Amino acid sequence: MNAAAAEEIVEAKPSTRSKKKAQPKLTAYRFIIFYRFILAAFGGYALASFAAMLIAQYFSEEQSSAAMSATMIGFLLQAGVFIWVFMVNKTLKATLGILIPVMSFYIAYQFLGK
Amino acid sequence: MRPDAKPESPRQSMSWLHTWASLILGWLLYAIFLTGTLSFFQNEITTWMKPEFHQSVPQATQIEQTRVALVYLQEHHPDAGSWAIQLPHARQNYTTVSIRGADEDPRARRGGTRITLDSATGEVLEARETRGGGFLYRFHFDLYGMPRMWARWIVGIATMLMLVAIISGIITHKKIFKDFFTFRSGKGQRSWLDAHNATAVFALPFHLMITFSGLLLLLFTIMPWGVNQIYENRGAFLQDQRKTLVQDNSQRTESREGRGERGGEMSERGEGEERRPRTEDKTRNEHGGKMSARGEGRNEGEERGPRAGGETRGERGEREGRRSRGEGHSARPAPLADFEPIFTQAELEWKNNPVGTLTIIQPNTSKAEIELRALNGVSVAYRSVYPSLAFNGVTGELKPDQTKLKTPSVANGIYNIMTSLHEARGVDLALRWLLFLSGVVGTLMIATGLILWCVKRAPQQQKQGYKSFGYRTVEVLNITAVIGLPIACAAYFYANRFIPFELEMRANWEICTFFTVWVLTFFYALIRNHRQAWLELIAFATAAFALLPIINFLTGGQPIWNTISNDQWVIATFDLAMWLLALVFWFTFKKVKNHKSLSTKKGKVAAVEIDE
Repeated sequence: MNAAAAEEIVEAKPSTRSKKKAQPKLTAYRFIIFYRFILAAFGGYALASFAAMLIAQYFSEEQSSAAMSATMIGFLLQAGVFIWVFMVNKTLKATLGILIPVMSFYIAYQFLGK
Repeated sequence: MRPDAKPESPRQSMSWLHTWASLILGWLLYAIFLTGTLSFFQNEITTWMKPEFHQSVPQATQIEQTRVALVYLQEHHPDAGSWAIQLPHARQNYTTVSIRGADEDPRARRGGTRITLDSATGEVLEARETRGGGFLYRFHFDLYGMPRMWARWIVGIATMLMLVAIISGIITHKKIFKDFFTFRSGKGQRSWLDAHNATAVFALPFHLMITFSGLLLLLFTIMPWGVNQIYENRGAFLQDQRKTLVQDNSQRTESREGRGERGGEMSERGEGEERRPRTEDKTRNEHGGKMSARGEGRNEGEERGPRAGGETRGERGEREGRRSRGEGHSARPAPLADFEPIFTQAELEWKNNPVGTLTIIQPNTSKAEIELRALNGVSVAYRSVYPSLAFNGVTGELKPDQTKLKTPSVANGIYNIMTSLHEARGVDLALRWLLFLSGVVGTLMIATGLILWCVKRAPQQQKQGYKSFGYRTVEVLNITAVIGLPIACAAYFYANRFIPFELEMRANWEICTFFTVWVLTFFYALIRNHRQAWLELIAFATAAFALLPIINFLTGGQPIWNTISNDQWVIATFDLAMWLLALVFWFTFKKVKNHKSLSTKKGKVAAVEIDE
C-alpha cells in the first residue's frame, strides 16, 4: 500500500515539488497513512468489540436479540470508524476520537460487569 | 488524504479511501464474489460434474417418484430403522435415499448410507469422485489449503473492507441517481467509470446485503463478543435463536438442534438443501433418550454446557426418556400407508411448494411414521424453517401440528432475511436467478473497479516513459484475477471430464488443475505485454467456455437438446450459462480490442477530469 501511496503523490503533485524536497515529507506521509490504517483497523475493532460487549451485557435479558443487535452494531461501528478515521483532517483528532470511546466503553463495561 | 496535509472535503478523502481500501484486497474480493456467485448454482455445477447422473429423467408426479424409491427400499432395505427420500426437483434430476439403522437418529443430517437412484428406473447410480460445486463454494469463504480460522479472518477482513469501500463509494458519488442513467461508451476512462458506477448503483441493495450478511455469517469467527457475553457457546446461541422463531410444544427440539449445529454454522452449509427438517417434531420413538444424550455429548465436547439452557436440558432428557419408556411396547410388522392421500394433503396445505424430503421412521412396523418436508422455506425471515407435516405411517392420518411460528425480533429478523438471501437457502428459482444475476453484476463492479485503477493511471505512466513497479504489479494481478480465475474455473470443469475415472485422489487432481491453470495465467500475464495478454486470455476464455457444452456430451454427459426436451433444467442451465459466459467474454473481447486505439488520445482528456 505504501509503495502505491507514493505513486499517488507523484501523480498528484509532480510539478510543484522537486524530488529532493518531497523525500522527508513522503516518509512522514507514509507513516501517517500507515498509522491511520492501524488506528482504523485495530482501534476500530477494539471499539466495535467493546461496544458489542457493553450492549450485550446491558440488554442481556433480551437474549438472542441482544446478542444479534450487539453484533450488528459492532460491525456497523467498525465500518463507520474506518470511514471516519480517514475523513478527519487532524491525526490527533482521529486518535482521540478512537481512544476516548474505547476507554469509556471499557470502563462502562467493567462497571456494568461488577 | 493528501501528502501536503491540506484540508480536504469528505468527498475527496473518501475517494482516496475508496481507491486504496478496495485495491488492497480487491483481487481476493473478486475471487470471493466470482466463486460465491457461481455457488448460487452449486447444485447445477455438481450435477454437471457427475455425468453418470444425467440419465435420470424423473417422472411427472411426485407420487410416482416416491413409488420408484419405495420399491427399491422395500426390496433392499426393508428392515432399516428409517428411510429418508429426497425427491427430484427443479434443481436435482435424481432421487437420493438415506438408509439409517435402528440405532441412528432418523433426522440426523449426516450418517446413514446415502444412495443415489435413477428417479425413473430406480437403478443405483454411482458418480465419479469429485468435489463438484462444493469446491468453489468452500473456496469463497474457506479459501484453500490453509487453516479454516485464518482463511475466515482473511475473508472477514476483506468483507469489512468491501463494506468500507461501498460506503466510501456512496459518499464519493455525488450524483448517484443521475449517473445511473449515464453511460458514455467508447470514451476510455469515462466508460470504465460509468460501467463501474452503473454496476455498483444498479445492484447496490444486493451489494450491501451480500457484504453485511457475509460479515454476519462470519460472526462467530470475527465478532463473537456480543454472543459470548450472553451465551456460553455458539450452539446455545443458535438454539435460542431458533426458539425465537418456532414455538415447539414438544420437548425434543433442543437436543436435536444442538447436534444439528455442532459442526458450526458454516460447515453445514456444504449440504445446502439437505438440511434436515426441524419444524416438525412429533416423534417419540424408543431412541429418543439415547439420541438426546448423544447430542449433548457432542455439542459440549469442547466447551462447557451452555449457560442459558444447560441446566434445564438434563431434566428434559430425563422426561423424554420416561415418556419413551412409557410408550415402549415393541413394534409389530404392519404395511405402510398409501401415499396418494398423503401427497394430496401436502399439496392442499403447501400449494406451490412441493414436497422436498420424505422421511419414514420405522417402516413396515405398527409404529411407522411419515414426515414430509417442503422444498422451499416458510419465508426468508425464517431462516431454515421449512413447512412440514407428520403422518401416522400405518393409517396415513395427519398428526396434529405442534409447532407455531413466532414473529422474530427486528435484530433476528434482519439476520434471518440477510443470511437466508446470502445463502439462497430455501428460496425459489426466480429469486435464485435474481441473486445470481446480481452476483454477476457485483463481480463486474469489482472487475471494472480494478481495471479503472490502471486506466486512470495509464496516461501518467505513458508520460513517464516506463511502467513503475507498483503499476505493473497491479496490471499483472488484474489480468491474473479478472480473466485468470474464470479460465481456472473452466479448467476445473474440463479436468472433471478428462481426468480418468479410476485415478486415485481424483478430486484432488481436479483442484490441482484449477490452481495450476490459475498460476499459469499469472506467468502468461507476466511475459506478454499488457494488451496482448488481455486480448489473448479473453479469447481463450471465450473458446474454453463455448466448448464446455460440447465437451459435455462428448464425454458422457447428456447433450443439451436432450436435457431441454427432457426438462432436465438442472443440467441444461449449466450448459446455457457457459454459453452465456462465452458470449460475455466475446463481447468483452471486441470492446477491449477497440478500446486501446482510442485511449491514447482520449486518455489525456480524461485524466484532467479525474473523478469528482
